[in-house]
Amino acid sequence: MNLVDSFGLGLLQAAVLLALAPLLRGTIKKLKAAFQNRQGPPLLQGYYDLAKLLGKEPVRSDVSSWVFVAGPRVYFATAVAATTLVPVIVAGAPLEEAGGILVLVGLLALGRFFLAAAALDTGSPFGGMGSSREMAVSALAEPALMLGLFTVALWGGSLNLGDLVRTTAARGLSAHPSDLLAAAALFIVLIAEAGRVPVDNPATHLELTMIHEAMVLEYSGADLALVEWASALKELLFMTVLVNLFLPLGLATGVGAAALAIATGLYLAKLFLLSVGVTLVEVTNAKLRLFRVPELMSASLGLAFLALALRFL
Amino acid sequence: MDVSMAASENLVPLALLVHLGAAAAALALFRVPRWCRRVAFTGAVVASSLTTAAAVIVLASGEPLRGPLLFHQASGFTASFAVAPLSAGFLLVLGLLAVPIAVYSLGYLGHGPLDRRSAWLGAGFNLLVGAMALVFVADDVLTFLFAWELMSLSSAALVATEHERSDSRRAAFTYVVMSHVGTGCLMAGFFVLASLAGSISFTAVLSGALAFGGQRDLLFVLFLIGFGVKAGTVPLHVWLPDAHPAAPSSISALMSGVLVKTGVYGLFRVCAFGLGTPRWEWGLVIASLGALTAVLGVLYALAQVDLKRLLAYSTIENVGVILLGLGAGMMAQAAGRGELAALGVAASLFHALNHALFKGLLFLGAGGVVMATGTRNLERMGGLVRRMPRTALLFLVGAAALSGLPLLNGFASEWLLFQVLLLLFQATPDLSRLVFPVAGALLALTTALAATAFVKAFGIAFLALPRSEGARLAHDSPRSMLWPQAVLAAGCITIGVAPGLVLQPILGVAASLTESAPGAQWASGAFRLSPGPGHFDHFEPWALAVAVLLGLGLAAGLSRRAGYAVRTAPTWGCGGELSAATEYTATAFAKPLMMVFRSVYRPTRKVELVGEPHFPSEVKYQAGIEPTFERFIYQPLMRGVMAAAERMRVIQAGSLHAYLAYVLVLGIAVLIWLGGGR
Repeated sequence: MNLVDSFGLGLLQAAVLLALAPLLRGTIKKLKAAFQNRQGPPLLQGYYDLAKLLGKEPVRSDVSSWVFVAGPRVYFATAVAATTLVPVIVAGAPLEEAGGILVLVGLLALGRFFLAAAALDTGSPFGGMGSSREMAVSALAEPALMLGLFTVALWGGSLNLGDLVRTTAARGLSAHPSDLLAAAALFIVLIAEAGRVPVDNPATHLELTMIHEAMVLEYSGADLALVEWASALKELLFMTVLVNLFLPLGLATGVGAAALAIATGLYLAKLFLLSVGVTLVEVTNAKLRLFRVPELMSASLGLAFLALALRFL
Repeated sequence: MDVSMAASENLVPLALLVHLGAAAAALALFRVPRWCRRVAFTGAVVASSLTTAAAVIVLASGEPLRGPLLFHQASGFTASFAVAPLSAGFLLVLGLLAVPIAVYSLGYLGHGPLDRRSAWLGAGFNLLVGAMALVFVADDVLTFLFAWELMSLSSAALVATEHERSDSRRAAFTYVVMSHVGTGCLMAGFFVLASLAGSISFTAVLSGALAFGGQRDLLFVLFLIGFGVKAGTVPLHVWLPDAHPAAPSSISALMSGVLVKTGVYGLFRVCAFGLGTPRWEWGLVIASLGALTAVLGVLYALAQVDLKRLLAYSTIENVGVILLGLGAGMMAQAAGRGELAALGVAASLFHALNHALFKGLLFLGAGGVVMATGTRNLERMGGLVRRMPRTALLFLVGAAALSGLPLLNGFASEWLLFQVLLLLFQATPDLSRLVFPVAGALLALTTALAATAFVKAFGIAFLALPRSEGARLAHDSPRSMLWPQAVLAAGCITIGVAPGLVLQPILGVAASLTESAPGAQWASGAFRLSPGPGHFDHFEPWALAVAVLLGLGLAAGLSRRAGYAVRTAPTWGCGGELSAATEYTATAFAKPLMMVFRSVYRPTRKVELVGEPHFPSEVKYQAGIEPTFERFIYQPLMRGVMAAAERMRVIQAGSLHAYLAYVLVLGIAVLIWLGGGR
C-alpha cells in the first residue's frame, strides 16, 4: 500500500470512528436506562450535545494560559491519530507502518499528559483534584494494560496491531484460559481508562467523587465538545482493540463488498455485546472509593500475569 | 592522510590542555569575574568542541584514536588515551551537553549572587569536564583512577559552591564519602586485575581472560559497587538527591546529564564487557537493580516538592532504565545471542544520550526558574507561564520527553527497550523468560509515574496563580540562558521524529562491544525504527507526526465553528475568593499515589493545634516521607563505623613511644613475613 492510500484510508477510518463514537456512548446510556427501568436520553443525544457545544463560544478563565487552550486540542488530535493504528473491520490498520501497541498507548498518554496539565491551569482546586486522580489511576492501570497486551503480543509474535489481528484471525477463535484471563485483565483496564463505574462515574456531578469529569470541569463550548468527543473516541478505540484481539471473527481480508458488509455487521454486533458487558458492570456495581481502585488494578495485573504464565508455562 | 590522522590524534590532548589553561586563567582572573567567566567558558566550549570532533571522527570511521598523554622518564610510565567507539559515544554525550551548559553559564553566573564565585565555578567546571573526558578516554588503570578521582573531587568542590550553607556542606561531605567508598572498590578491583595481567594498560587488564569462577564474580561485585555509586543505583543513590540540587543549576545539569553516565560507562566497559563474556546472572542482577532503581527513583521523584530534588530523583529513575537495557543486553550476550545483545546495549546507550539531552534541558530551565523566583520549592512557584513564557515552553518539551511521550526522544529509546525485552522473551527457552515481560510492565509503570511527576512539576510550577511574591515578580531568563535550552529542546524533538539519525552510530558502538551486529533490517533509514530479528514492531515517527498534525488541524477547524469569540471570566472560587491558597498544591497532587504506595514511602504526618482545644487559633501541619535507605541501611552502618572507630582509639593513645613501638613491631613482622617467603 502506498503512502497516499494509507493516509487516505486513515482519514476515512478516523472519520467513521469519530462519527460512531457518540453513538456508542448513547447506546450504553440507553442500555443502562433500560436496565434501570428508565427511558433514558435519546440514542442520538450525544450528537445533539456535540452540535450544540461546537456552536457555542468557550468561556475561559482569566487565570489560564495557552496550555488551557492546547489541552483539549492535543487530547483530540492524539485520539484521532490513534484511530489510524487500530484495525476495525479489515485485518489491518491504515497506518500500521507508523507503529503498534506501544505507539497507541504512547499517543493516548500524550493526550492525557496535556489535558492533565491543562486542568491545573485555571487555579480551581477541582481541576487539580481531577488531574491528580486521573494520572494516578492511569499510572496504576499502565502495568496491567501492558502485561495484558504483551501476553497477546508474545503469542502472536508481534506488537503491531495489524500483524497481531491477522495472526489471531488466521488462528481462529480461542478459548484458551490465557486468552480469557488476558481479556478479563484488559476489560478492567478498559473500565478504568474509559472512566466508568466502579472506577469513575461519567454521570456524576458530585465534585468529590469525580475523576475525569473534575479534570474537565472548567471547559465549556467548543473546548468541551473536543474533550467529550475525544473521550468517546478513546473508549471506542479501547473497545475495538479488545473485540478485535479476542474475537477476531469476520475481519475482512479483501475489499469485496460482501466481505466488508459482513465484517461491518459483525464488528457492530461485537461492539454491542461488549457495551452490554460494560453496562452490566455499571448497573450492578457501586463506585469504589478512590483508595480501593488500586486493589482493582492489582487484580487486573494479577490476571494479566496469570494469563502470561498459563500461556508460556 | 597522515597529516589529518596526526591532527585527529592530537585533538584529545589539545582539549585537555585547553581545559587546564582555561581553569588556570579563570583562577588568575578572579578579580574580574566578567572576564573570568568569558575565558573559562569560552575555553570549555573550544575544548568540548575538540573532544566532540574526535568522537565524531571515531564514530564515522569506526577506527579508534590512540596516543600518549604523558611520559615519565624515570619509571617508564606512559599515561595513554584511546578513543574507542564506546568512549566516543560517551564523549559525544559530554560534548553535546557541555557546550550548551558553558554558554548558559555565561549568562546564569552573571545574573545572580554566584557572580563573585565565577573563578571557582569557571575553574571547577573546566576541571570537571576535562576529568570526565579523561575518564572516557583513559587507556590505563592509573590514568583512569587519576581522572576518576579528579572528577569526584572537582564535582564535590562544585557541590560545595555555596559553602556558607550547612546543607550544601553536608551534601558535599556525603558525596565525597560515598564517592570514596566507590573509588576504593574500583582501586581494589583494578589492582587485582592489573596484578593478574602484569600490566596496567586497559587492553591487557580488560582482556577478559584473567579471572575465573568465584574470583570473577567477586570482581564483578566490586566494580558494580564502585561504578554503581557514581551512577546512583539504588541502594547506593543516597548522595545523589542531596548533591545534585545543592550545586548551581548549570552544574546540576552537567552532573545529572553526564557525571552519572561515567558510572554507566564503567559498568559497560568493565562489568559488562571487560571481565569476559558476562554471566546470565550478572545480567539479571544489573537488570533487576535497574528495574528497582527506576521504580523507586520515580516514586521518590513524585513525592518531592523541591523542583531540583525532583529532577535529581528522576535522574535515578533514568539510570534505572539505562541499566535495565544493559542488563538485558548482558543476558542476551550470556545466552550467545550477540545480535540481541547489541540491540539491548544500543537501547541503553540511546537512553543515556536522550536522558542527557532532556535532563540537561530541565535542569537549565529549573536554574532559570530558581533564579527568577528565589526558591526551589514548587509550593512557592505558580503562574510562571505568564511571567516566563519561553522557559515554560522549553520546560514543557523536556518534561514531555522525560515522560516517554511519542514524537520526542524519550519515547524512541523506551520503545526500543520494550522491543528488546520482548525479543529476549522469545529467544529464551526456559521459564526464566517470564522476567522480561514483568520488566516491561515495570518499565511501563515507571513511564506512567514519570508522566505524573512531570505533570505535577510543570503544572504546579508554571500554571495557575503565583503562590508567592517571588513568583509574582519573576522575569524570563536572558537570551544567553534560553538559547542553550532551545538547542537541547530541538535535539529532543529531532531525535524524537528522526531516531534513525542517531540510532545508526549507536548501533555501530553496540556492535563493537558485542562483536555481532543486529540484523541489517535495523535502522534502514533516518526516519524509521524497523523490526528486529524476531519481527516485533516498526515505528515511523514522521507518519505519526503527520497524523497528529492532521488531528490538530481537525480540532482547530471544529472549534472555529463558533467563530473566534471567546469569553473570559474569573475561575469560580467555590464561593470564596480564588487565590493561591485555594489552588491544588504539589503535595496534594502526589497524595493519591503516596497513599497507594504508602508501604514504600512510609509517610509521617504531624498535626498540631495551637490555642484552645476546640477553637484552635492556628493549625500546624507537617508531612514527610521516611528516608528508608538512610534509616535502615546507612544509619546502622554509620553507627557501626563510629563504634569501631571508638574501639580503635585504644591503640591511638597519643603517646609517641607507643607509636614508635608499633612501627618497630610492624617492621619486624614484615621482615619475618618476607623472609619466610624465600
